[in-house]
Order: sequence, then C-alpha cells, then structure tokens
Amino acid sequence: MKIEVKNVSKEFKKVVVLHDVNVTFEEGKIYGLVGRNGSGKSVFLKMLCGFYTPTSGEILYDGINFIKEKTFPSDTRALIEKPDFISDLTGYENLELLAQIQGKIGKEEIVEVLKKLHLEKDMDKKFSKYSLGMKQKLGIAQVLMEDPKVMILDEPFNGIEDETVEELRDWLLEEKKRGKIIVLATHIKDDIAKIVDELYKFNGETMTKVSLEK
Amino acid sequence: MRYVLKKDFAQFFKKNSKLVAGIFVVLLFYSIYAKYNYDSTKQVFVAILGLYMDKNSFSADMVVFFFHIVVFIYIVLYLFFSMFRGNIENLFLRLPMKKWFFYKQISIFLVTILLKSSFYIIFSIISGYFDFFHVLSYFCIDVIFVITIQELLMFLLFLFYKNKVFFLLSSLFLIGIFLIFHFPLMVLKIQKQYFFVAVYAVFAFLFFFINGVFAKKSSMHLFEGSR
Ligand SMILES: Nc1ncnc2c1ncn2[C@@H]1O[C@H](COP(=O)(O)OP(=O)(O)O)[C@@H](O)[C@H]1O
Ligand SMILES: [Mg+2]
Repeated sequence: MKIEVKNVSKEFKKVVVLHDVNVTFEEGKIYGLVGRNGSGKSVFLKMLCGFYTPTSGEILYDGINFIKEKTFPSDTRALIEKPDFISDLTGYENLELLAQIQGKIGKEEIVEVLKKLHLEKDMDKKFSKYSLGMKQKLGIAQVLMEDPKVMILDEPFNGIEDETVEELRDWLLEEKKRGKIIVLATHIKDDIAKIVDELYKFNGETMTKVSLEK
Repeated sequence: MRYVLKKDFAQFFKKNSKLVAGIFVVLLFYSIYAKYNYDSTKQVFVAILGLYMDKNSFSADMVVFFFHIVVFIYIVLYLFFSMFRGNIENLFLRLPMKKWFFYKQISIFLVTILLKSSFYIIFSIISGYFDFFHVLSYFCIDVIFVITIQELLMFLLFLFYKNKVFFLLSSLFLIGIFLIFHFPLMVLKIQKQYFFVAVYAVFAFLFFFINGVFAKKSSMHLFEGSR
C-alpha cells in the first residue's frame, strides 16, 4: 500500500497555507513532518484523512482518490491536534465505545494497549479528570488499538513522560517492521529524528525533504 | 450508534442543564399567567404549549408560540454543530458520514421527543387538562411539526455551506410559502386537517433523505467551515 500526495495546494480564503506539496508514503516506513507552529502540518494531516479538501492537486490511497469519492480512508487512524473524548466517561469506556463502532477488537485488546502506555491504573478515571499527558496517551491508544495500516500522529509526545516516550518510539519502530505507514508531525524535531526514515520540513508554504545524517 | 447517542446526550444535557431549567421556569411563569386569563383547562394547556396563536393581534400566546419553535431550533443547531467540534478523526475514520448523519438525526429526534414529552406531561398536570386522547393527538402533530422545521433547517444549513445564493433563494422561497399559507403551523389549527399533518410528515421524510445525501456530499465544507 502507498499514499501519494501529488501537487497538493491548500488555501483558506485566498491565504495560501500549502503550495505544491509532493510526497509518497510507503509501507514499512516512518515519516517525520517538522515545522514551526502554524506552518500547516495539521492542515496537511487533515487532508490526508479526507477532512479538508486540497484546493488543487490530489491524494491517492493505492490509486484511489477518496476525497473525490467523498469518503474517508479506511484502515487509517489519526490523532490530530488535541485529543478529545467524552468527558463524563472513563478512559476505558471512551475507547470501548469507539471500538464498538467497527467491532474489530474487544476488551482484551483495549486493556493491552492501555497497559503498554502505562495508563491501565487510570483507565477507570473519568476523562475530565485526566492530566494533559494522560489525555495524550488516550489519544495515542485510540490510534493504535485497532492495529490500523496507516497511523497518523500529530504532536504525539506532548506532555508524556520521557520513559514512556522512549517506549513509544520502540513500539512505533516495531509497528514499522510489521509494514505500517506511520506519519508523525511535530514542531520539536528531536522528538522523532531518531526513528524516522524520511524527514520533511514545512517552510513557508512549501514542504521540502531534509537529509538525515545519522 | 451508541457512540453518537451517548456523546450527544451527555453533551446536550450537561452543557445545557441551566438552559433547560430556564425554559421550564419561563413556561411555569407563563402557566400562572395563563391560568388567570383563560377559563377552560384546555385553553390553559394549549396556551402554555404554544399550540395556537392569534395571528391577527399581538399577544403573549404569540411569544410562547415562537418561544417553543426557537427552543427546538436551538436543539438542532446545537447538536448539528457539536458534531464538528473536537476530534473528528476519532469518529469519522471509523464511521461513514452517511451512517453517522443517520444516527445524528436519530439523536436529534430522541432529544426532541424527550423534551416535548416532558413538557406535555408536566403541563398537562399543571393546567389540569387530562383529556388523554387530545393530549396525545396534539403531541403527535406537534412532534411532526417540530421535526419538519428541524429537517428544513438542517437542509438550509447544508445549502448555506455549499452555495450562499441557493441558500438565500430557498430561504426566501420557504418564507414565502409560510406567508402565503398564512402560517399553517399552529398545531391546534391543523388538528382536524389530516391533510396538513400528512403534508408535514411527507416533508419531514423527504428532507430527512435529502439531508442524508447532502451530509455526505458536503462533509468537507462542514469540517473546514466550523473550526
Ligand atoms: N479550517 C481552517 N480555516 C481557516 N484557516 C485554517 C483552518 N485550519 C487551519 N488554518 C490555518 O492554517 C495555518 C496552518 O495551521 P496548522 O496546520 O494548524 O499549523 P501547524 O503546523 O502548527 O499544525 C494556520 O495559519 C491556521 O490558522
Ligand atoms: Mg498542529
């Protein structure tokens, strides 16, 4: 599977956010997107998910232009900007409710993901009582729990303690070996520089590839 | 379905608890006024629930009539826009837009029914009007009427996002129809005119399906526009 972004530009009311972006995402690789706040990373990821329409250009999932077909990409999970759940429900209940929509996984898998993120002791607390880092972890759990083919994570490590970030990086590397497409966006390059295969920088309106010297 | 309903119910009643309480307080005050001014329990009941207004003279009934409509328009707007707030990716990468919109309509329908039926039960007791058959028939017609308005409103919202000119033209057209037919909106007035009731029901269904198609087609405008 691959995702091709071809000549994509995005304007909001004549304000150009992205201009002529070209990139191909392939299986078994981790892609990093860096850039200042407001450089268009989240907008780009929303277009990848089909929530925003490119002003020109196209995005193809295995050759299918899902934006034209007015659907959202399948087997893709994303966390874009702030994680947001139903505040009256517990972390676990929120994930369970989301998992029920497609019915691919049950309690076991959900709890397993929560354990990996060291969130299992807080899973029965209400979301409104969660700290910033815990909210962020729940957002990541939501992306990972159903074992999707494509994982899109926007500023994933916000507020999460270093030890868990370290483990998460290892986890993502494992997922990559299993043939996933992983796209990470951040304004702090160091967060992801160690694990990405390709790095792209959002600069002004354009996106350019950055060489990685490891 | 469970996700959409839970989210809507939790949000709506939590964020609007004061408002809902306020609506009841306003209607309670009005019921005192109505009890002084009307003789029969039926008149009191009809007045509180805004089922009829005299369109030739300005009166408190007119205010209550529109008050009820505004309340249920607010519900639609609130639930309609709550869907685009927060993390859309949680839901929309799992559920197709069309299905989601169908569930959303169910949840709007349920919130509407819940509020309406509590109005009817409480104010039937307060006004002392217990003619079960009549209350039930008002209730049914009222619900059909309100849902028709809600569906029309959603339709106009979709138009607004898609094409402002179409939106203006259709709004004018609909307002025109209402004026030409002299507000055939009053529940009490159309009570015996099953033809009108049927027309409303057909309209509600028609726009229910049209809105479903629109929801899928205009999802992107909605996501971008309501950030
Ligand atoms: N729905 C929208 N409507 C109008 N402007 C938007 C919208 N979404 C994002 N923008 C603008 O696009 C620019 C890029 O934002 P964003 O992608 O969130 O940046 P970041 O790289 O920090 O994630 C910002 O100037 C923002 O104001
Ligand atoms: Mg961002």
